[in-house]
Amino acid sequence: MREALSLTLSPNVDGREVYDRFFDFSKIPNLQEVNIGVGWVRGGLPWIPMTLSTLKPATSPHLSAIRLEYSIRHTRDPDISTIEDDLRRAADEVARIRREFGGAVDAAMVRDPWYL
Amino acid sequence: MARWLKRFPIPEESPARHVRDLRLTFGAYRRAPEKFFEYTLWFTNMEKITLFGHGESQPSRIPSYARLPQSVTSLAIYTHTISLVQIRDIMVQLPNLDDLSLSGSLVAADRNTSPGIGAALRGRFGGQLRLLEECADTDVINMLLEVPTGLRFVEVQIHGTYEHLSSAAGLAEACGNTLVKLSYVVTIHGKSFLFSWVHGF
Repeated sequence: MREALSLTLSPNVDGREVYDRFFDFSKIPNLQEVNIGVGWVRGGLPWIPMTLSTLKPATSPHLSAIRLEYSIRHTRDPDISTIEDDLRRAADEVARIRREFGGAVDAAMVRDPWYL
Repeated sequence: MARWLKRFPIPEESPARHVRDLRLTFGAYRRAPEKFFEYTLWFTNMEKITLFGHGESQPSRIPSYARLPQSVTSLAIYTHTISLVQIRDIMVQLPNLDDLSLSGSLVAADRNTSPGIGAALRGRFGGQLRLLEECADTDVINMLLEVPTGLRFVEVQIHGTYEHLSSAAGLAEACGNTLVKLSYVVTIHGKSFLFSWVHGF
């Protein structure tokens, strides 16, 4: 029953460690609402755009809301530009979700909410 | 609780069977007397139990002697210190669990708990799961993934630290056929209570 769920830190092309796991929402067909909050960054945030990329109308037909809230004030990563790249890709995914779901999904991306 | 014991010295003659929601504090100044846990089986229609533990540097003592009625469908534990085995020992008494909420610090010695600790658990696990702070932990999640009858949570809320992203993703996928609402929050100490308040979880 137990699956291999250990977290893997893999060096990417520039030697920075990144997390190679993400949520695969294509395997969760009844999903309606997703909240993701990040108040502490380590290993970049590539998992956020990767997670968002798994939201498609065909595999998440009941999705109605997705909210991403983040703060990078407490990053442990010295290279802040890579985090900004991850967040730009996340914003692109949010835009895609709005477009592909045709207004059926309330998608929001909020930076620095006061409680994170 | 002390007054309850004084007022109703004979459990069978107490109004325990009318109680649906029981909240107990242990390991603190105003804690429930240990003797009270000899009475908890008489709460035959109890649906929800909430256990609060405060101010202990050692694992809270409740699981070793607590006996809980099988009618319980919702369990919440908020404690400063508890071990994975203690959580398991509470849960194993509740074969009809739907909702589970765990918050607080896990005892460090549990980090290498052997696989299989969740194999004895039974439950529907078809309601809401909330894992907060150090209880949003790989060991806790792996214990749940070992439930032989599987997980069918509709809502999952995980507020923890980065190290457990992989486990959280695995848990969400394990509930893949039933999961409707997911909240995943990463903060420096796994604490982000206000996020859940704002969004109504």
